[in-house]
Amino acid sequence: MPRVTYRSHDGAVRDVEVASGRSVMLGATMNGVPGIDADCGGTLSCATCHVYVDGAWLDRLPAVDETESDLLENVASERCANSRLSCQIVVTDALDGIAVDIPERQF
Amino acid sequence: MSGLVIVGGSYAGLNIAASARQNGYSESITMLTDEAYLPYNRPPLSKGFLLGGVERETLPLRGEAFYRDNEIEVIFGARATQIDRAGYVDTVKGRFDFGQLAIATGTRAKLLPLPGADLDGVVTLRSLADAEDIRERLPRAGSVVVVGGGFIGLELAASMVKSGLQVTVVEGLDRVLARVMGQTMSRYIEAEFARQGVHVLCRSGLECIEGRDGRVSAVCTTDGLRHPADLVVLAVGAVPNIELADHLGLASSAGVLVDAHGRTADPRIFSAGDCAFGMNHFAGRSIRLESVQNATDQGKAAGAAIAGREIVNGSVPWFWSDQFAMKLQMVGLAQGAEREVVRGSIESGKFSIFYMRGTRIVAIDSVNSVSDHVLGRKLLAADHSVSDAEVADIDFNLRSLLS
Repeated sequence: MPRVTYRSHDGAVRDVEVASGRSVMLGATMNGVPGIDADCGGTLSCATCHVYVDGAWLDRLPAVDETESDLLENVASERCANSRLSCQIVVTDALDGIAVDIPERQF
Repeated sequence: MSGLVIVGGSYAGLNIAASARQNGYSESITMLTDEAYLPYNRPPLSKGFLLGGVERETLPLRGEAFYRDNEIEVIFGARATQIDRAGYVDTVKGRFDFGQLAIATGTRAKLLPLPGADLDGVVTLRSLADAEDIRERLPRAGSVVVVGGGFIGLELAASMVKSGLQVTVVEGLDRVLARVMGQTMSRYIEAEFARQGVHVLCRSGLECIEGRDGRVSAVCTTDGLRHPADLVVLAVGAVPNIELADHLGLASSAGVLVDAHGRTADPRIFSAGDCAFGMNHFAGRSIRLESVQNATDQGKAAGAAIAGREIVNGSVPWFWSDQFAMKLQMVGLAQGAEREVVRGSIESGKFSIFYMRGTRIVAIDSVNSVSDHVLGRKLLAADHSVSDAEVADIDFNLRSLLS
């Protein structure tokens, strides 16, 4: 199973196995990783699952679409070039080892 | 006696527990739920889960690890029957002592006292168990009547017509979503449903539900029509579960009465979510809201108060609904609006209705216009002044109103 590394704002690092086809958001909410609120459950409505994708992995992700981009405009922590909504990052074998930083605030 | 007992295991209950821990609450936390599952995502129940695209394992709002790590004990099947101010809750699973108590009992589907309402095949949707029941019935159903043109009724109607059923929506008022949206939006949505093959009947009351051998067979409406149906969904709104609090004198028919921090008149008892009628900073008055956002934010405020901290819940109410290809997003409260202004193109299916009062925007309903919605969440919380002409002009940058 692919592994995802979640780095929390307080410095804690968690490596979690996430089944292929599930999102980085679900990997966090289902495995007790704090800091990804996911209020809308992954339906691209809320912008509370914001993460910063580790540079090396950013280019391997599908591009940000218009809806995600509009929502990223409303995130509580600063939007950066590597900002993504983790509900839109679907884990695959090709993403085994992806690392994301969790921002300080989601709301 | 010490420790927090939360009656109710959904969005509000979860957020009360999580926020209490985040804000330093160190005593025991026990969540009593009358269901068999950890708190779960409800919006997919009328959509993706019903159609099979959303797997059940992905529904929990938080996995077991969260409850373990935060030392939140969840008692399943523990329907509460009575709260005593001496500091205990009686449930069908026994008595639980509390130091502090949170009532997060939500709502239940409203029923209609009609002949035939108890027939097999007459259902409501509130819980995962309800959704599983409806999902099992779909393959055997041919035609369905959805009673009620609110969000749940329309979402169900959209899902069911997608799965090949003949769908009729019966709405008592003169338009769908009349309670929550303006006329322009209701008409647009009605037209979209008609285009997708859903038969929407407004100004149509329910006369009776007919059955055969104990199973539903048709619905008769007050206009004298008879609509054959092998499935009837009652989606006529929700009733707050206030009985436990009412027994303590902590509720009115409006809901469980709380302040801006979720506190009832009893300093040890709190409430949040769909069942709570409380001071809403944005509205400037006490209201009861049925929404994920409110249950989440009010729950966070109540959890903080339980831990001895006050946080200002200044969030602007927002809602969402997905029906066919329409991404509907609502922000603000349209009550008291004087005018509707359209921004964008209704014909292209990408627009927002701005609800205006004086030179203020009080609410925005959007169809496939996420940028209007997210801007609204910031703008409506801030002082602003804008003309109708500016709102209607897509070349006018609304973001400039923020500075």
